Amino acid sequence: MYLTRSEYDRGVSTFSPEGRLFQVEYAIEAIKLGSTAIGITCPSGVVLAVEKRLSSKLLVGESVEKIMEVDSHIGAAMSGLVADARTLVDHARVEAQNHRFTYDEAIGVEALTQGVCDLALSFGEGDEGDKKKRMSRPFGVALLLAGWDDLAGPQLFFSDPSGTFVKYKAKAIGAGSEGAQSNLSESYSSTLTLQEAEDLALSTLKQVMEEKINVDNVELATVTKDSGFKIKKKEEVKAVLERL
Amino acid sequence: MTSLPLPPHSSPRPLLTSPLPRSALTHANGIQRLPIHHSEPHSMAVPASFDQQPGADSIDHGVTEAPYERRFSPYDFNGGTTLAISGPDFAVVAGDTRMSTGYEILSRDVSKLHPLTDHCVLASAGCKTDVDQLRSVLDIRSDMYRHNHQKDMKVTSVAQMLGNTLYGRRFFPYYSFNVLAGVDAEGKGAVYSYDAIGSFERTHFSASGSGQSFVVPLLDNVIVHKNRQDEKRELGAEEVVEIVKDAFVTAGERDIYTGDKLEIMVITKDGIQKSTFPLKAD
Repeated sequence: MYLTRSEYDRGVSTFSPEGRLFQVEYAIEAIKLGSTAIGITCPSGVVLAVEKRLSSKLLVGESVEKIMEVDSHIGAAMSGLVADARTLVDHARVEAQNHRFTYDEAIGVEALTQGVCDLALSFGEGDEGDKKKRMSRPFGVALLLAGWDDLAGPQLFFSDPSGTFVKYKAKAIGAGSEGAQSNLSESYSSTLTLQEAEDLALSTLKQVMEEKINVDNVELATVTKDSGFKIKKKEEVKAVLERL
Repeated sequence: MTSLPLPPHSSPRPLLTSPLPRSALTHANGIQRLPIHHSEPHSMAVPASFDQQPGADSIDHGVTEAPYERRFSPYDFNGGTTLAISGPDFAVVAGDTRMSTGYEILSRDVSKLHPLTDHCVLASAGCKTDVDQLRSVLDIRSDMYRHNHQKDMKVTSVAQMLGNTLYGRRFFPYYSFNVLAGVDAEGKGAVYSYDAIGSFERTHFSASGSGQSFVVPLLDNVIVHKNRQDEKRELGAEEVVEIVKDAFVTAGERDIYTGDKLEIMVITKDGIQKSTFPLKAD
């Protein structure tokens, strides 16, 4: 892709003669630098797992947050520029609460994802002089949105900086995504139990992580019909790691 | 007609009351004219009074310095009664089809019931144009919901949305009195009662509109068994429909705005069944 690079890679709102938006493509590249995140669906729920890169012994691991709650029934795992994800997750939380306020019910997972992608797609918008509203570039982050609703049960959506979203049974994003995705393709079965899905998520992470996996450098969360979104405590993560 | 208190600085003089004094019915040029029906007291509307200075135009169009006031009356009351009763697995909703203004009947066949989904009907009385507008807004919003969420709205969601829609016009309300009926996600009958600015409540039954005060005490007795010693019985949809007919005949006897025809819809999880029943046309 770098062969055709030219002045067309500057503006977010300018297509190249071949019909490409380079800034969007570069934003998608940014995700491949991020830490690995994995989502796996199974009949009883969805599992999210992310790797945390703890660059220093002095870093407080708990302060690195890469899985966030959107609503009681939806969670998001991220890879790429985590600061951008905060904006997206904030927006998603507002969408979810707005839906509750307007319709007295939980928002659907797909509708929520669509809402997030609406924001992801709004790069280049806003008035020229208006610094506050102007969005200068695409978000450099991909999200895995996991949730449960009565319309379609457990669901996993992947959204990228282009504002596209796709539904997956299992998906890996980030630096180790290639290896992780092929491992998921091999080991995934549509009849996994939640525990098996947790095991598969962490064993896949274990394979692609540069550092040795432990309770401090991974985050694990589940979404189920009855308990909704729950981030696993260290002891629970430890129990899963011991099973591997 | 109520008379408003005079401002303290003006000298006390008799207020114009209806019927208007003879002088008001005779124009300066001697031509007889009919009284105009106002919703506001005449005394407030035009201080340049009819019985002052015969020959002077009653409205000075701002030429003199005498202050006068015009009023904006955007609302009309078109009458009619609506009623909804919930059952264990059904809801019955009904409304008469008369539309009136003042002592005139504008139509004998205008529906007060509006299905919003396959399991949810909105019944509204009040100002017809406001009701029409409200229905359009709700139709659009429920269509958009269907597009965005790939499903029909649940009654509970419609109820919340209607509340928000009405409150959105908190300071220039839709002049509509709404009753929402349907079956909820569990298949139970649901009836919601509203005020004009969106306060709502899920109730066992609800009536609104011009005949409300005749219908409510009857249903308190027959449906809710208030102040009754005998044992309460679970009523089926057919029995409830008969009670609804009685209630409307009762209201039509005393309320001039209720009559002509009764429309009844029985909502179950399988859909909406419609029927009509003639009422007195007097």
